Amino acid sequence: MQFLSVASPVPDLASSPGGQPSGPNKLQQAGKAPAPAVPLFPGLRRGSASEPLARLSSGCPAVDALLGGGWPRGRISELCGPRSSGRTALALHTAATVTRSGGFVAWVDGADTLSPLSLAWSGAILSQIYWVRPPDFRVSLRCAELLLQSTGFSLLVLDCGDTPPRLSSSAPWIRLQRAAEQAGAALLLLSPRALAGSFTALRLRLERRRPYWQGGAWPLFLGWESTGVIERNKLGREGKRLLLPVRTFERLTPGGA
Amino acid sequence: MPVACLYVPDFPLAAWIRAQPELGEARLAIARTSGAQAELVAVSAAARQRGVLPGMRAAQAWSLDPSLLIRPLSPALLASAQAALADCAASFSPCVEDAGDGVVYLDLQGLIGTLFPSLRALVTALTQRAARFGLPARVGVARTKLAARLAARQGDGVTLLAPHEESEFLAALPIAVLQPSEAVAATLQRWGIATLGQLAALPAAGVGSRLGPEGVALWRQARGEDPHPLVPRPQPVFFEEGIDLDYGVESLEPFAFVLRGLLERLTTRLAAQGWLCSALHLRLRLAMRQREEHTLPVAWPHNEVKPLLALLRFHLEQHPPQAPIEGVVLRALPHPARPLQLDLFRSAGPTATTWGATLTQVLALCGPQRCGTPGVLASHRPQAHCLGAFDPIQTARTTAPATPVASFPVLALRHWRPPRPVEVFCDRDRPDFVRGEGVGGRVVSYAGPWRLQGEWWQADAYDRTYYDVHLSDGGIYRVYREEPANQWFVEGVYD
Repeated sequence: MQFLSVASPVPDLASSPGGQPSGPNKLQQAGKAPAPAVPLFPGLRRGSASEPLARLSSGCPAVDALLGGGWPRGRISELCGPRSSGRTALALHTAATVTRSGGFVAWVDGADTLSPLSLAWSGAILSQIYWVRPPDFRVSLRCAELLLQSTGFSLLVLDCGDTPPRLSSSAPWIRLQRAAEQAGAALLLLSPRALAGSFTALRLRLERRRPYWQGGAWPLFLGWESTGVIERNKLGREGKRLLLPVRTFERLTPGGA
Repeated sequence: MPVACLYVPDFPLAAWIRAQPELGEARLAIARTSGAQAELVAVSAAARQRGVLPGMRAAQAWSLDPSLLIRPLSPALLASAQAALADCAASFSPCVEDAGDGVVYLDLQGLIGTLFPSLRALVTALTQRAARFGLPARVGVARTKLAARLAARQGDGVTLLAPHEESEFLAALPIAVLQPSEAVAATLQRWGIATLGQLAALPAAGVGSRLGPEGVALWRQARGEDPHPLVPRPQPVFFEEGIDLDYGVESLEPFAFVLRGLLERLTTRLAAQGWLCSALHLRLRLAMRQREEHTLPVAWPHNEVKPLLALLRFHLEQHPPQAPIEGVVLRALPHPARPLQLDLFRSAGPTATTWGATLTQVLALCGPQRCGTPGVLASHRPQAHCLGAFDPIQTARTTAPATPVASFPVLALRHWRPPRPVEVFCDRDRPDFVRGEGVGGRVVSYAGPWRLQGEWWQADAYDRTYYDVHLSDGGIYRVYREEPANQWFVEGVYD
């Protein structure tokens, strides 16, 4: 698709009656410089490139650079990966960043696995998070749509669990996409596999590369390093990769408290 | 002190039409009880054209008009309509007297010239507000309650009596408007006294010696004197709407129609006085003389009918009534709308009403125990957390200034609720293989053990030995052994 730029030869409809492109006038034919045109409607612009999409920072500079500035607002993004890949940690980190900047986060916990303790350790302001635990996936989608329609949340995380059901229709994703667009909120799907298909604007897949263990007589689990790859990107290049460390504080392990 | 009287003619009829607006055009009569011998107490204009009049028996009325609709007097409907009329008056003046039977007085002191440019504008707004409440009210304004009531009853819409016009207006009215006893009415008729003006012209001493105290009271009223001052009603602590159903309703769908009507009327009354609904109380009268009561907190005070109805439906689906429903009273607890100071540097965001509607719908979909703000409990018990009320507007006003978070994601645990029981095979007291629902594999590496004991003084004390295990299925899990039962569980997976 080719966008019109400011310099593109777009006919000036405002200066010609009836909307017809005007040809060279008599002054131009006489070799004199034309008088500067006074726009009839100063508020109207000629065709220009589309506005850059607003982004929501994930809080990790490396991830933001990979995503092109952050998670796109008004679109569906997917954060995929198997167990222990770091998708929940990255989503929590994004939620923490949003709350720290004064925004509200809705966490639709379809899998009922959110740990408020992990949320607190990620640095999130808990009072700015609305946590919903729907009884099933259909209700999760409905809740997500309702919460987006309220236009009060900057980020909505929809955790689809380890085994999200396959939907027979794409209508829920259309409605969610529309609601996110109207609310200007980033909608982040957490799932082990791609769910929203062509309605996904951006899909980041994480894979755990290697775990970190502290050896010795009393071994400790410290975290891991994941690789992230942009699998789908309607807004930029696909295939970009990064290495993402997911680390722990010592106190996260029960004995370290 | 000008006093206004709001008067609803044919009040039982108006109460029914308020509850079921589709009856407004029908030929309708209200009977004192049900059955063919019931006496009619109110008749619609369309029915009057067919010759049906108040005082007739139902059977007589049906003989004149076989398609006449007859409804019984409903105490719940009358109470709701009377309360609505008082609320309508209270939305104009804080000093309101509820006189019952479709009559309400309100003090107009201080309203004209400040809130309303003229008395006419005030009265017009009053009648329009009453119409919005579903009540076709007439208004009379005079110096006393009696004159205002008579002006409202005798007028055909709005009757304003200036102080110098009152005596002239009263003089022309028949004696019957004061509703004297039969004996006094007969005596006055025998004397040839037919109007209030003629009664007022009689000497007081003579009236007193011949008719007694009742005669003196009538004489005073005929002169426009009213010894009873306006007695303000107390501020209501709740708002109620009720209806008695014609037959027992067994399924939720038709009952939802009834609830919608109740909610619409209730929220209109709340909104007229600047209140929001903060909780609902449902009182059901069931068949076999059973009763049920349900209390439903609203996630966020608001007056949106759709989410409130969804909340009621969800609750009744979870707690279905034990018998067919024959009557219902819905009570709303009022909550003042909170003033909000907007921030210059932040967008205003959704209104309280939008928040309320959304959160109530989510509450209705998921239940009150499954949505709110997460909180961490001050406890050593692993993953101890709570769920608090989400208050976005208060939070937006008290949020701390932005502070940075770490530049890398912190390891998170996906907490499985409840913990999944698993089998763990140990080799020399070290976990070697884990098998369970959705989990399984050889232990590649592990960290631990850590003993955790606590809350021994409670029934659900915990005594656990924790491990972090990396399984060959790719996941890194937190597992624990419950002591002394020696049962293994997976608490969650690191992700």
